[in-house]
Amino acid sequence: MDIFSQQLINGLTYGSLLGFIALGYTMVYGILNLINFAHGDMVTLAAFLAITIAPLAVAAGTLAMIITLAAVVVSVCIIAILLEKIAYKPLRAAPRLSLIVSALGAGMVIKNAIMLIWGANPRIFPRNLFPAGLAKFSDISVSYLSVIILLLNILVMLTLYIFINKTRVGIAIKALSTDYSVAELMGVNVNNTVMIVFLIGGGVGALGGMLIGASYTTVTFSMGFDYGIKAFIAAILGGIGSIPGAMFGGLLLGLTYTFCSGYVSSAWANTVTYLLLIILLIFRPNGLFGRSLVQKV
Amino acid sequence: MKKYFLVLIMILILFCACNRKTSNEFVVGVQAPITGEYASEGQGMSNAVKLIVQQQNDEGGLNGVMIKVITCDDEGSPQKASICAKKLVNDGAKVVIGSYTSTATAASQEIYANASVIQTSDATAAVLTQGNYKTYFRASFNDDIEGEFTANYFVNVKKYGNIAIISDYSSFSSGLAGAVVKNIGLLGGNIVCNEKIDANAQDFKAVLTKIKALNPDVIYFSGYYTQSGLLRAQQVQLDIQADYVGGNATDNPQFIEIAGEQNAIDSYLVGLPVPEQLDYPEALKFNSDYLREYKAPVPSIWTVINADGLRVVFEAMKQVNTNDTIAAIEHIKGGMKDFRGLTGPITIQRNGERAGSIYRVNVINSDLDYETVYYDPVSGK
Amino acid sequence: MMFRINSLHVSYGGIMALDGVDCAVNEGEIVCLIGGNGAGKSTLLRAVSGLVKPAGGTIYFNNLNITNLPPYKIVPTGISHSPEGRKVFAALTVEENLIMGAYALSHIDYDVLRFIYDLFPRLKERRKQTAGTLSGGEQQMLAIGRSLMSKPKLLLLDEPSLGLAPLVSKEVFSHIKRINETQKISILLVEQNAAAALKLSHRGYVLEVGKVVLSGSSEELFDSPLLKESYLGKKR
Repeated sequence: MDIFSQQLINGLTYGSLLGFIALGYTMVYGILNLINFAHGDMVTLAAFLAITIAPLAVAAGTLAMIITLAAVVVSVCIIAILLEKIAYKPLRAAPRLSLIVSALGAGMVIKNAIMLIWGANPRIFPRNLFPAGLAKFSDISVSYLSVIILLLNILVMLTLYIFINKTRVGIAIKALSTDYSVAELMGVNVNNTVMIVFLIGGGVGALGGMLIGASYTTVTFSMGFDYGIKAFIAAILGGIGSIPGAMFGGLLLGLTYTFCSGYVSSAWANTVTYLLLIILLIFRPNGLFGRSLVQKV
Repeated sequence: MKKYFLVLIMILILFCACNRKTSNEFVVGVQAPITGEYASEGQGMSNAVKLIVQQQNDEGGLNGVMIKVITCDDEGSPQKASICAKKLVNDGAKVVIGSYTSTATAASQEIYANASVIQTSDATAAVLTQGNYKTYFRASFNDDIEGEFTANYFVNVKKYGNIAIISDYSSFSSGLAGAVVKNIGLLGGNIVCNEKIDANAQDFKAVLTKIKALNPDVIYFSGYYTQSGLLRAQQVQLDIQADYVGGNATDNPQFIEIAGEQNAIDSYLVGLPVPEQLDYPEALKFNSDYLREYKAPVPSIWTVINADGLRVVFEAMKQVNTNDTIAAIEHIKGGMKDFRGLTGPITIQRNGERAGSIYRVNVINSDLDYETVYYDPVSGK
Repeated sequence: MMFRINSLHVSYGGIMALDGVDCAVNEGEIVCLIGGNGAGKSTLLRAVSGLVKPAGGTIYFNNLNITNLPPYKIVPTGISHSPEGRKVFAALTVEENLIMGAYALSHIDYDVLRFIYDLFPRLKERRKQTAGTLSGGEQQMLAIGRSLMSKPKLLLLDEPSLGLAPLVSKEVFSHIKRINETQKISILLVEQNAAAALKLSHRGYVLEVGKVVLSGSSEELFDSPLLKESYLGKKR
């Protein structure tokens, strides 16, 4: 029973990290119908920015953590907005395929820039940024960080859910995702609204990047690909475009992978995990929370 | 995306191939991961080769010919490795040191052999000498020997009851784990599980939790230091009371950084001595020359082994009095006995393997220093 | 004159869709644009609301030059555009659609919302339903209601009867008349059913390949030989 509970905790922690990154994919996809393939690399960028900023913020004493978090989130938000302006906005009317290529290209640019700035070696993430330590319940260990990750994930998800469904800008974002030009006719400033979406995606991704860094202490310039692709799968599983879907998709992926490694075979974990998920998609093609939009014409 | 990039590189190489030059220089190539995950090792290799070559040139070159070094970055990947091999051959390299990883070395062997270029590397996968490439030899020891040494230590020295083995999917790591498992079997040891991890991932808690339930006395990992550090940290986090033993690729200063200093203490590393532990006069001189030249200590034993490989080639060419690669490799594999290497006496067998072994078990003590707790019983110190 | 277009030119990739159109709407008027497919009627509305950039000419609304303003700056001046094909937000509920209509205002005017629900009681009944589940006529009413939410002085209506059964069309037209009379909203109407449009409006313009070929009061147009021949068909 202890082992089972421990695996459950392992899976939830890993899954909520994936869910965090998946939120960024889902936000942008909902509006632009674009898979922002550069998102994984933005997440990596956040972790590296924290490595540089944290030592500078140490002087601020107890506020160092808050300052670092804020500085990283703001920087990544700015870069996310620039990314949209440079790589996506000029192509808004172009075929989707051009946008995908542009997204892949932007991802490579960011990844290689990280390598040139911070080097190709794995880097150690600042250990004092998030509370370290463990809680032990009989034989089960739960790190404080994994509790923070899970709570933060739920908090961010609820905030975004309320923002999208209850606020003026949120409803505009929903309108925009249905029809650009009609939303414009309602007086929606399309450029600003798209910018807000990228800002949210970037900010949430930045948090995710720092949580990855804190969880595993090492960050490499190329890690965005692996996390990106898994989070993307999580977003699809949850139903891309759905905010709760991103979180539950992440948890589902994390738990499935963990239990496959723990109870089936570690060598076959990836194979079995993705096979199960393919089967799930066959029966629920729109994912857990995805709605198929049947429109009356 | 990667594919297009490769095609682009291929085209560039075709262009480069046109300006093949002939000159009076003797060209030594370095094929190493200058960037990427193993960059610190690759840069160490390149630095060591440049240092040895510079010292040889100061003595008037090799049989009167000056030596030049060219470097190609293979990022540790087999695709880039074969591109590098073609480039170095085209640029006239006669000897190539490389590469750091076994997969990258394997991918380039045939190209060098066909061009009669002597290749030596620190790679340890058993397959590398099984292809019978006449121009390949190594100053390192293959994984089977490390497997034998490790199994003997676990079963006969530490008398571990339950042994848990972890490896990743790389040919080096699975090869080494296979050798350890095979030899533990031969000695009658008890392996409770043999697990795999995905080296692209960072969360290994699922596998470790599974292992915890089996009450192991030791957890052994055969892969590289990045994952090894994470495994050790997560073992401590999950409170698994077992010795942690890493194979030779755990032997890197970053292991301690990644695991965290407190966690790294009491980890065991099976491997070769660290550079500072070598007390042969040649080794002491190499260490201090390297420090003076690069303002940093020798990164790892692999750097020294690669330097030894190059020193063996130079010595052979001096002894046969020609820079001809075929004559030199013949002499290396048949004629030279107990060359005074930086890592001890070197004799290369006909199949390209180095005779004997210099393995030992180090433990990381509370000062974060390596403390040798066990030597190879056959060759002693 | 509250709304005036002078010599408006619009081109799509080198092809002139509007070639020097003049047109005006007075306060309280319903003005219709009549013409065949490709005459440039919808393009004119899209140019007014800012969805397409004119190549030349000026658009004045209440003495304000709105020619090159983006849509989100035009809506607050008091112009609202209900697009062809209704284009309701299918995934949003009826009420969310109406709230979206008031996006350009700083707050929602509940008097307007009440007026819309009075005018279209069926929308009130279905206000929690998603708009995609409504019938064609209901969607048209929702589209009109949505464009009223921004409290416009000038309403641009593009083909409100398109694809609707004759009886439903008639109902829609009577609603348009009521909006014009009770709310004092001027309307620029694009309509293929020329007879119905002229019956509803005070004045009209006839467009052919991007040019105004005829204009005048509805009575004058009704009696003109061109209209009788090309647009009104056989006498009903």
